[in-house]
Amino acid sequence: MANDRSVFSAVFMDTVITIEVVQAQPYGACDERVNRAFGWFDHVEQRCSRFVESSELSALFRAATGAPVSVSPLLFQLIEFALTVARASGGAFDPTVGQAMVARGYKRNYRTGQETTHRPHTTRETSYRDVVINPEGGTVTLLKPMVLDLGAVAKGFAIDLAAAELGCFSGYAINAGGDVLVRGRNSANAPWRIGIKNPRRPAELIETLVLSDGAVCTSGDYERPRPDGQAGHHIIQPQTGETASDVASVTVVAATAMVADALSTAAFVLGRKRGLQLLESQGVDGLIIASGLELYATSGLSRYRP
Amino acid sequence: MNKKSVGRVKRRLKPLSAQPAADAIAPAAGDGWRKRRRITDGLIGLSSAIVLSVYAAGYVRTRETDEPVVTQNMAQSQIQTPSHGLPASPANGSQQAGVYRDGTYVAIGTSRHGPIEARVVVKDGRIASAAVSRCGTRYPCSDVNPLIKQVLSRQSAPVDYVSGATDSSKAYTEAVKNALAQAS
Repeated sequence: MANDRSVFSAVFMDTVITIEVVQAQPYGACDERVNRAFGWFDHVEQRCSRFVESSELSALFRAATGAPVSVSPLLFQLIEFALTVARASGGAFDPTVGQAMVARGYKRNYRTGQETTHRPHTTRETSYRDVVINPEGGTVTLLKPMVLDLGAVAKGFAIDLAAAELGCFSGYAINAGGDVLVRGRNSANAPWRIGIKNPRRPAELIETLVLSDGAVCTSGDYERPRPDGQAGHHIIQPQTGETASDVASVTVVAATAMVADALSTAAFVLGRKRGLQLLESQGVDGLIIASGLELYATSGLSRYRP
Repeated sequence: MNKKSVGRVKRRLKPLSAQPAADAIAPAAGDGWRKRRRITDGLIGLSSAIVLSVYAAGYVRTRETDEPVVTQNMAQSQIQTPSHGLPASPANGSQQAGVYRDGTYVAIGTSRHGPIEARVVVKDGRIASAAVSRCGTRYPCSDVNPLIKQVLSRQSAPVDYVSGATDSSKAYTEAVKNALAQAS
């Protein structure tokens, strides 16, 4: 006897978010939870998106350089997490790449079409070390003018928050533009099957993973081409300012979407060898697809292969 | 057994209470997040602690946001953005009236430049309107206005593209196809 399933979708964070919920009893009991789950995407976006002029993050950029700014616990902890990943990845993951991204044309709000007003400084280099946080005071200090891009952690964060609303379902899957979190079983009472796109043939899958609980996030060079039309994509090497190019995509399997999201970006920048080392050292699994489509997997990935 | 959701497709987001769900074990809200355990098990432990802390604090809706949309239950079990396996439009693009079930159907089509959401209203078995209800593309959705007229006159998903607006055309077409699949 198959369980009842319902699928919902909405657009937040410039992507289609789909939530599939599975349960045996009549649906009405948990109706409101799906709405609340979507609400977290909106909540995180309105506070942490550099494309939203009224966001708390945008206000942080406008504050005086060098002055501690009091921020909400949500934004503080998201920045704290981004900085922790920056340190763990030796700077490969760096939220201050926002500046370089703006210079490449990634500056338009997808809903309003308006450009952000943050002007990049082309002469002053910044790194994650120029962001100082004070847990006691709950403040963030930007030592230089900069644009923080939290895109690589905010979506995973929202996914994990949304998932916290859905505990009343026997199984669910949240798909935020290819970043997936699953729990329990699907409507056929089987673990969820998650396909990984072939980076060069989007209609094909290169691999399928099977899991009951966990997050699968992929960073790929095909996701967001440069808006100014030049060659390249949205994942930038913080040290050089150029787009990372040896890897076509990285997929990470981890217990939380926040970690899977961040580490897929970090590993992409680090490249095949050091990227794989980072994943292994952080105790997560993953698959790196090099630009020639060679596959490199962590030692533990095979437990997710059917 | 997959059930289609007929007719009612809009869910209104109601204001939320500040109390979080009981099924989350959460630390105290307020200042608790600053004093949470520092010894965490790497990044996983850190992210879990952050999520619990922020979730416990909850949120209150302060502005109107877009409503989530119920889409057709899909046959395949893969977690992919819905775009395959839908019934094809008839080759000549026209269909008899009375084929669609009355109701309002909202669905999304995607493109490289972003998603388009279409709202198709069927009355007395005929498509009465097929507007763009949400425009998520980089370029204005008014580009697909000629296609909207086509949907009404042909009483089916559009079959042509608007020259110069190919990606928007594809997204709108996919959205209308998805919506009509719910109506069939």
